[in-house]
Amino acid sequence: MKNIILTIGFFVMSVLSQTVQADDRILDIQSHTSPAGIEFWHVEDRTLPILTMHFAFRGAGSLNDPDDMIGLGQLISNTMDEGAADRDSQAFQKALEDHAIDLSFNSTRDHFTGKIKTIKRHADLAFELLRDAVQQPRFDEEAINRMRNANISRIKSSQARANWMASRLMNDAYYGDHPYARNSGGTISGLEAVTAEAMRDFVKSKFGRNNLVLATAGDMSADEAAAIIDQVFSKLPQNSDLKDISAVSPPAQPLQKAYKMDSPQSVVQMAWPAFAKTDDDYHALRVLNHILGGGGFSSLLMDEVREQQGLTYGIYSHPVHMDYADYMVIESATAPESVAPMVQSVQDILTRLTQDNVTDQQLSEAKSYLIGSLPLRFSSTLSLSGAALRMQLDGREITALDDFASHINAVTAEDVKRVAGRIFRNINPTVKIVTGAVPANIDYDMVQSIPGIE
Amino acid sequence: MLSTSTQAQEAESTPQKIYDAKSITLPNAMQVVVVENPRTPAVTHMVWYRVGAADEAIGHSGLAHYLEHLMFKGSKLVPDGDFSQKVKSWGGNDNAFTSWDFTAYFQTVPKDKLQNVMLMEADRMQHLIFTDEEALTERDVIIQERRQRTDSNPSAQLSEAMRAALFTNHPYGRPIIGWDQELQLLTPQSARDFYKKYYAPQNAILVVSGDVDAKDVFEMAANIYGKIDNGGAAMRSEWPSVPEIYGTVNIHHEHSNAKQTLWRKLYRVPSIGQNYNDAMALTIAAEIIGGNTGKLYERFVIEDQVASTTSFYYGGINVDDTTVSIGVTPKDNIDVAQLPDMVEGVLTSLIEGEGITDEDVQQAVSKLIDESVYERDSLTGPAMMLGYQLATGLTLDQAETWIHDLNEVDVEDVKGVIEKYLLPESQNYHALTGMLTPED
Repeated sequence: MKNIILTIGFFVMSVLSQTVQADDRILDIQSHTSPAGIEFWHVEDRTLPILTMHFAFRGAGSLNDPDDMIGLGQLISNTMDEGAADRDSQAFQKALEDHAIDLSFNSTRDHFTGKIKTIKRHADLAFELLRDAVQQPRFDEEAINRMRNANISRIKSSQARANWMASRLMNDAYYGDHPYARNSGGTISGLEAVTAEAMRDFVKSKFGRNNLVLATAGDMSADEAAAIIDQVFSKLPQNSDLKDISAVSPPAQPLQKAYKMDSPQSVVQMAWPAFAKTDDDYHALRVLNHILGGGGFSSLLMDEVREQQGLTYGIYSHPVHMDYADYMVIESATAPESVAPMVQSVQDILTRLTQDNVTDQQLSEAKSYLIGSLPLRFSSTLSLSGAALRMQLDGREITALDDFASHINAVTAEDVKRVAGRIFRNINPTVKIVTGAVPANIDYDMVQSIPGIE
Repeated sequence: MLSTSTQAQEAESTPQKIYDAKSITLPNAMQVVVVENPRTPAVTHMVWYRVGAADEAIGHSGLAHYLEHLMFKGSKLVPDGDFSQKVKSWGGNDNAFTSWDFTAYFQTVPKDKLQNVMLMEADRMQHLIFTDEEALTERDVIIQERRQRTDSNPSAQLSEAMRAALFTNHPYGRPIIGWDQELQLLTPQSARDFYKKYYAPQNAILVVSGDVDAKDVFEMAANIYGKIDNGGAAMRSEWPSVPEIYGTVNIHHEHSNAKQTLWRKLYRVPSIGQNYNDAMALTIAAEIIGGNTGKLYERFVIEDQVASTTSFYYGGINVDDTTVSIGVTPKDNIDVAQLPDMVEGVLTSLIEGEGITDEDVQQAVSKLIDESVYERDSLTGPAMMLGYQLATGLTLDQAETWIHDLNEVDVEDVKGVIEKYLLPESQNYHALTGMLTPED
């Protein structure tokens, strides 16, 4: 609540003049197959002369990074738009920049993703650039070194922030031996070891038509989108070669770790294992999270810890869902002497949620927020293709958004209590992390250096 | 009756407007602006007060932002402080933010809830209620907010110190969040007094964007905000001026959490409201120099390989003076003491010969105009950008069309502002440097 840096959800379309659509759909997502046989989801929206595309290579995320090249995926994502085909880095970047084309790639833990936004007038150039980046990235030594340096610089500057350090420590503690434990942004030595050859091999072996997931949106027909998709992706190899990954086993015994920094505040993160988006209790989990700490000022955590006690500027809960791990996080920052009372307040709230039903008012307000705010997430053209991609990655039906309200409405107070019990049965978090100022007499395992950085 | 200002101004030669907003001014001097956007059945409702951190009395830094927090504690219509809870229960979101020049409150809700949020916002413009106890607890919250945003972040601490030195004697030199020792002394009564002094229709701008008909919004606003008496609210006082910077100022922070050196330079330059033509040229200069295809990155990162990152920003939209800021992350083998001369060398080379070309300028202009299409690609964005510009003193006409005035900028204008504001021989050069280094 300050300054003008804001992220706000947006919205979209329910009445459009040029498309025929069912009145009861939240988002008119249609499934199509291109002439070359590539499946994609499309949301036609003629409001503005803007086109967007989101895509992912499923399973090609940074969990594929070799042990001695942690950061390979990250460096590929940064360098793919630094020169392709006959355009070198500066020519490629300038073509994007001068035509207001937003193109970016991202290596998440699970997937390698990309997105592009262009005004219609520059669409031909935009998709030519995307095609070249996907099919013929140059990975010139000069560009790789620049991106390597920028990443190492980012890692060094992030080390000054206690919340970034807490996340590194949390990942290491929670994921243990699993590849998720590694920093998807890379380590300094891993980034230094990455070679152009490894980058080319990765692209060749991990990007296939069989793991490509696609969504388009904006001022184009499905046929136009299909033609663009074939132009960009049809020449990819059919198959990709991905590692077999097992599910994360959370630590068997609770872990408490602390790392001391020169700071007036303690950052606190707590995690409990949860369950997948495909679980029958998923919608009850959404309701529970809203009531607990996902609902802004009116959540139980914010009301108790911030509004009533003034211990923190913010305290939030949110579920984390990935392909091989699902857990619930509660995080905050407070004065070191307030860590113990804050954790106590959190545990009191969690205990109440596992023992007592939430009130009718809490339940109905949470439901009306979750249902009413759904369309607000789909405002910009990019948010349309982004949602259509996410749904496919999550294995959702194309009608999932339309069915969301009935699933949420079916959640009862007993469901919320049962789910609270499933997650918070053990009131002690599976992993508890404190970084920054460390309270006196704390019985945490004191860590001397944070893993996943060097 | 109310009259709409835009209809009268729609001449054939008018350049394309970014927002195509409609506007009226209520009899109590509150401006009402509407951006019709039928894309989705939702609406963003924002009230901008032309009062912010720069209007705090000496010794009361952080007060405007403290009041912003207290505005959520309750009013006659919503006595229990569940303003946000009500908005959430309609499926909406709300928040607020404070700057030096303004304080703004917004809600995004389904369109049939526009009147509900308007009634609540108008109510807290007149009838804010909070107890001393609530206000003192909230003071603890903003102290924690300062710890989180600034005191735990060495680069934020450096920015704060550089700004304080650049804007000596001017309220822009104070942090919006407030100085720590002054935050501890803010009182509930001081917030009430600030509220009574400034929060009134004549200091407020309403911006509504979304699936609405402007006429309906004007009527609703006239019935709700139009009924509020100005009650003799104060207008902002004139701000003191900034003295010359004597000598070379470099602010050096060392921090044990810092793992690499950051170098920055901050210049005090005119905003769009103060020198329109120079602001246009500075906007183009920033586009040419900044970014990863800009001249600074090209020189430092690609050619000379002395830095791993660079940045160059101009924040043109401001009531009083604003800043150009340069950031450099030097490579480990570079002597930071040489960076001021190196930056000056790059800027000097730009004003000579073909340092900047016609093509550079044309591409920067066409890119910025192309990007303005994206401004409307959201529900809340137009309300946010338009309100920001109006609250800092632009007229609605200027906000709609200034982007096209970039077409008037030529190479000599761009070189001119670089020489005038960014190079030390000029009498308009007001700048200092700062650096953050790891502890030895």
